[in-house]
Amino acid sequence: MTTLVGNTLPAEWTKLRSVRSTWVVIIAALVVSVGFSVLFSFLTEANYAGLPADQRTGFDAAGTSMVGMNLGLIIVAVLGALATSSEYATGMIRLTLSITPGRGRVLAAKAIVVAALGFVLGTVFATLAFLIGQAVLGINPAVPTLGLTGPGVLRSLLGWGVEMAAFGLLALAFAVMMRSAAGAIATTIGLIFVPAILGAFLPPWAQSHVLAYFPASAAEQLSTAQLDPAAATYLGPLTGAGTLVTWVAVALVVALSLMGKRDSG
Amino acid sequence: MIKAQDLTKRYGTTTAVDGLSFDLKPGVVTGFLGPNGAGKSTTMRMILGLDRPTSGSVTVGGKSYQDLPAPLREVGALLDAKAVHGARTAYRHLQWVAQAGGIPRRRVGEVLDLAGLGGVADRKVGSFSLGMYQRLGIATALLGDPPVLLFDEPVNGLDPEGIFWIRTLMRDLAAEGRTVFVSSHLMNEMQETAEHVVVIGRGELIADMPITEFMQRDSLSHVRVVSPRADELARVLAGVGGEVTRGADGALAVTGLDAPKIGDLALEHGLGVHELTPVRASLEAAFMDRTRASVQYRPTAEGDQ
Ligand SMILES: Nc1ncnc2c1ncn2[C@@H]1O[C@H](COP(=O)(O)OP(=O)(O)OP(=O)(O)O)[C@@H](O)[C@H]1O
Ligand SMILES: [Mg+2]
Repeated sequence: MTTLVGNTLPAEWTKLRSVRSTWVVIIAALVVSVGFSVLFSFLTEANYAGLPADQRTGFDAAGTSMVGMNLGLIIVAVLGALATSSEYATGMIRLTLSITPGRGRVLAAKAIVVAALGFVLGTVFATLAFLIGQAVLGINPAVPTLGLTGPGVLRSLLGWGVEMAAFGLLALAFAVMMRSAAGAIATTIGLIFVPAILGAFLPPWAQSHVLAYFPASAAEQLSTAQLDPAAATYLGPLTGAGTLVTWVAVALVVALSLMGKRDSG
Repeated sequence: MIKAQDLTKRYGTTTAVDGLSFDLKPGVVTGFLGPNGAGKSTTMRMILGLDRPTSGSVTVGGKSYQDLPAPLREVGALLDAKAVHGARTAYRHLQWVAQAGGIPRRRVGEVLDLAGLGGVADRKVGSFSLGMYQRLGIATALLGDPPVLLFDEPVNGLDPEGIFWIRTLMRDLAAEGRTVFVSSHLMNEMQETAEHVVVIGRGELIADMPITEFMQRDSLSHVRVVSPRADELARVLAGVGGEVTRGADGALAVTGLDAPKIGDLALEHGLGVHELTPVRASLEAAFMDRTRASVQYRPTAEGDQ
């Protein structure tokens, strides 16, 4: 008798860690997440006096030290898509499903592996970016910096873990639905950037009633340390988390029902 | 061990498998024969619970595949040897399969050696030759030491040594009491390996019988006789129940009488014989004959739609 925890989960983890591309993607995500953040911290620290007055009074030290995380997010989402699209591309999914006929169990194992990896990467990258970024900002004594106990900081660091896990899972679900890496990655990136690109052009009611419920703006409620309750897309951390979880759950349920209906998964 | 009952699979308007029933016995190699597109791979995918039958059912040891508690220990399958991720080493590939199937890790090394891949265990699968892919696929199928084995075109792309290896392996596996089901459209390959054949054409069952019986087609197994007095000999043979046809080169093709009998009759009647050769039907010929017939019986099938 094989089980999810004893068999399917370890097998999925072996699959993911035994291809070099996984590690290449992780290193790329690290470089982008932390590297860009640190670079931006240096630029901010050097040009602090030149910033507009309102940006200095409400200075977002945490956000400044983690700007690269949004780019790293895209790379981690790619990891989620690759975790399954390669099986459809090679046809190896048939071997997977013949060893483990339960589609639900296969999808659950993949989801747990992707979510755990996304959470660890998000939290670790955010923490590195934050700690190094604060140290860099502190080079200039005029810049106000934060410690780990600063307002919203811990929520933000863990929030990045949740956000990377959630987008990894969305990408995984899209990869199962589309059986293609390119389609899944494009869809996930679209979801990440829709709020950023459309935001400014939409009327306020659309921003607060539609845009706010997109996964990226919902996730921001967790990963942004310094939330602005006056912002049109403000939901607060709890509603944001609930919205994000709903997106992920719906995507995984759709993916599972397709796996069940299709021949060869 | 594997029992198909009225198994049918349609993809849109294509009927890939059409009312197929068979019951595979352990201890013998059963060849699964049919021309391209006959529905062999589709049948195998349905056995493995990968494709869902449109109607009918197939069970392994009385159970539906989905209900097997540890499928890798029950059924080993090689469907498409190249359907593996090329970036993984052979060892890591078998390692995840073993983990997923609940097989102890040491078995990985055993099947690698068994398949002759012990020396390339740490090489990326993507660098393998087709023959090495096939060997890896067979190693994967043997991992769970299963009582049932399915091989879809396992000799595809193998060199003579590889073909010999697979033949011997399949016969050994059957001799150990396992159920071995091997598809092929290379008829002469089956002739060397299979004891029993299930033959399909256009998704329908054409034959399910011992291979010897399948090859004993009257028109195909005959004795070739060359005689300077062929006409007289033909009359003699026809007189005792032989069926004689005259070939283009003047030789007689005789069925219903064996070579010693024909030789004795010729001697008895003082008729010289220059050549007396039993011609055994090749499986190839029997197969062509049967599947051609299956098409001929339904000449309007295409036009009906
Ligand atoms: N997933 C699919 N979708 C649509 N049609 C399919 C699918 N799989 C198989 N078919 C069709 O079903 C028929 C049987 O195909 P199948 O691959 O089972 O034949 P086969 O006997 O294995 O042939 P070959 O000897 O070439 O491997 C073919 O007409 C094929 O085109
Ligand atoms: Mg086939």
